[in-house]
Amino acid sequence: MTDIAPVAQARASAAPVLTVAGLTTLYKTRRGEVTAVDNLDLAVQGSEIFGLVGESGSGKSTAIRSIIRLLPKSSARIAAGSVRLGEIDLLALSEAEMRRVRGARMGMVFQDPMTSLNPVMTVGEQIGESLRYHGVGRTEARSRTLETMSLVGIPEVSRRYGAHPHELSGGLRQRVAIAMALVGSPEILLADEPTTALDVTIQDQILKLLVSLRDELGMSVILVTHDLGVVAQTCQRVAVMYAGSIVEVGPVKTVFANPAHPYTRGLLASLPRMGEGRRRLRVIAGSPPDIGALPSGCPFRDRCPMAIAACAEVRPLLEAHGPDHRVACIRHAELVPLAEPLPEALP
Amino acid sequence: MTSGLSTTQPILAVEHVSKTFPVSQGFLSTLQLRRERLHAVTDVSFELAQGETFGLVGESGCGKSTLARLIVQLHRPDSGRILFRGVDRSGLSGAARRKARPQIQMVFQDPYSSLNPRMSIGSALAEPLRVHHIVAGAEVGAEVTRLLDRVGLPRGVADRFPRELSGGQRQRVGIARALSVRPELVVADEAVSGLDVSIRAQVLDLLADLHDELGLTVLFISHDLSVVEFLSDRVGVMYLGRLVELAPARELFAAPGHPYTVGLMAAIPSIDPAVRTATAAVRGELPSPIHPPSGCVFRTRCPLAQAICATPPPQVQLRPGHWAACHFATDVNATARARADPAATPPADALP
Repeated sequence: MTDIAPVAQARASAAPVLTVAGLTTLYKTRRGEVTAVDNLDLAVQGSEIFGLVGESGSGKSTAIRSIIRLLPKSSARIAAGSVRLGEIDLLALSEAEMRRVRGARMGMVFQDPMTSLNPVMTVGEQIGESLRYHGVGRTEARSRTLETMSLVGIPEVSRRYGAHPHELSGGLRQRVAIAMALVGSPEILLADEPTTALDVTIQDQILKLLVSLRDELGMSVILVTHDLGVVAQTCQRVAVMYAGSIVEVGPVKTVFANPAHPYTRGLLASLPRMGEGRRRLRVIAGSPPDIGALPSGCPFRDRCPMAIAACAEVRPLLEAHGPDHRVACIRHAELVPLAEPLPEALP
Repeated sequence: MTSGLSTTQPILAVEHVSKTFPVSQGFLSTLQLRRERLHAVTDVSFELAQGETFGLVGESGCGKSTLARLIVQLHRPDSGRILFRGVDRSGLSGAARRKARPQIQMVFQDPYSSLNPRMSIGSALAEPLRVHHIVAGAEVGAEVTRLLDRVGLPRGVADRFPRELSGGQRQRVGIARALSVRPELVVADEAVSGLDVSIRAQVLDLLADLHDELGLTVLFISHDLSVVEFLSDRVGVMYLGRLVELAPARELFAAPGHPYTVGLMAAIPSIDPAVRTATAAVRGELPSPIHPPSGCVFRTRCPLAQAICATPPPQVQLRPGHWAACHFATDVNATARARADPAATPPADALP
């Protein structure tokens, strides 16, 4: 099932659709500026679903909001880096130019569709709005809207075209939000926890919809989530974020079968698995970090069962661990294979 | 290991409990004679044995939280009754009612909303100890320290305020507060939802320890089947106000008897990337709880549904202590059930 449909394969052979290099985003706080995203590099291939996973404060949402430039202007700023979509650097565009990119070349779906949908506008008008903004005529906008609504699995489209968001269930609202993001045929879709607010059976439907849309349309997706299961079921590659940085990145199958960062290992071990019965789940001690008060060196070291004195010295950079698999840990080469028991966590 | 077959009196017996709520439809509806009602809980029965952890799982709108609130007497059932040690507490009044109140305690999803922001954690824990005369006045400070130790919080937390704590720490305070009055039954409603994975693991371990060490009886309610299965001895699955299946936890996982349980399990994204399916496990959306389907409430989404499903499903006994409310319960997972013979799997007690 990781196999990509033919349309998708054609696009996959080309250069990355999106390349992020050295992205650094700061938040203003009363204590001064804190680094929410620290020197982030990533490349998303054509027709790829790329997972960005982490706990709260890891910077995953800030990272994609930086990419599409939807950060709150009063409290956040991008201090360094580049975000290349094809031939253009999004960070160099004016706000007006960026508006032309959003909707047409890059779509976004948020966790709670109620916050991104206009409560007094019909869903049909909202989906078609970006087409109208980009100069498409009224009749064509309507027919493309209806087409996109069927594409995302909304039943009875002509009736639902005139519905208001509050008349729809949470699952249907998220389908409307996806239709809004896709109606302009973007090259890449950014999805920030798109299923977190949904029930598990509806989440399952939406994730399968995302995968089938990728297969049919050949677009790329960055999927931000806290849920490793969501990553395992939908993504080709995954980047694990911690305290503003990517600590591990690679193909999903490789990272899940052989995680090379102690944090990734800990996260996977912290999940109860059905049919497994009782065991200790706590492998990672402590709490997700306060990005305003990180320890020196490796930001994970105060929770890491493998930390040694050298971990306090420098913040580790991503190094090759295997083919297409990189990890930011000075001890990654010493990690025992996963079949061995994990080292005891520190108290 | 509890089986639900024990001959001793259950600590809690929920008997044919139903609860509906009037649906507010604005000003004009007040003029109508017949108001519509939302069917939150319909004819639910189950028992909790002393010392067991009973899990209730279901998606939003299944009635699990309403059931929790009925059990802690925040709601009164429309019909049916809830017996705690054989006594219907809704009949109690005055001193008997006050005395009974600490027996059942609740842990909420985010204790932040139930903690007074101006009260230190130490004072918040001391208050119920004083109100219910749990320990002598001079002992209160020592008891607070003992409670903090018990839930794995540093003692210094006593002098801090709710806003200064992390989500995981606040949930530990919520658990400590529930334990402070030495309850016989703890009802935990989505107690680990919304916590980060690493913190959720710590709180789940704490709940498992408290169960093992204090012999606490716990009703653990969650939308997350993997968490419920981890913690519970037995599990009840709810859908649209009904209890549709009840089984020992490991058996439910190995051999579910209700198509909804099968779908719910299949819908959980597996962390094994090698196991992927292209089609959704359960089609469609939840029907309206104001006009639930006749007969089996799951039939509008069920892959096995037939004409007969428009009639009320029987409660089919699949094994001792395991039933499912489905016309086709014996067909749902017959092969899986054969494999789940308890003789073939080590008993839960043998686990480390």
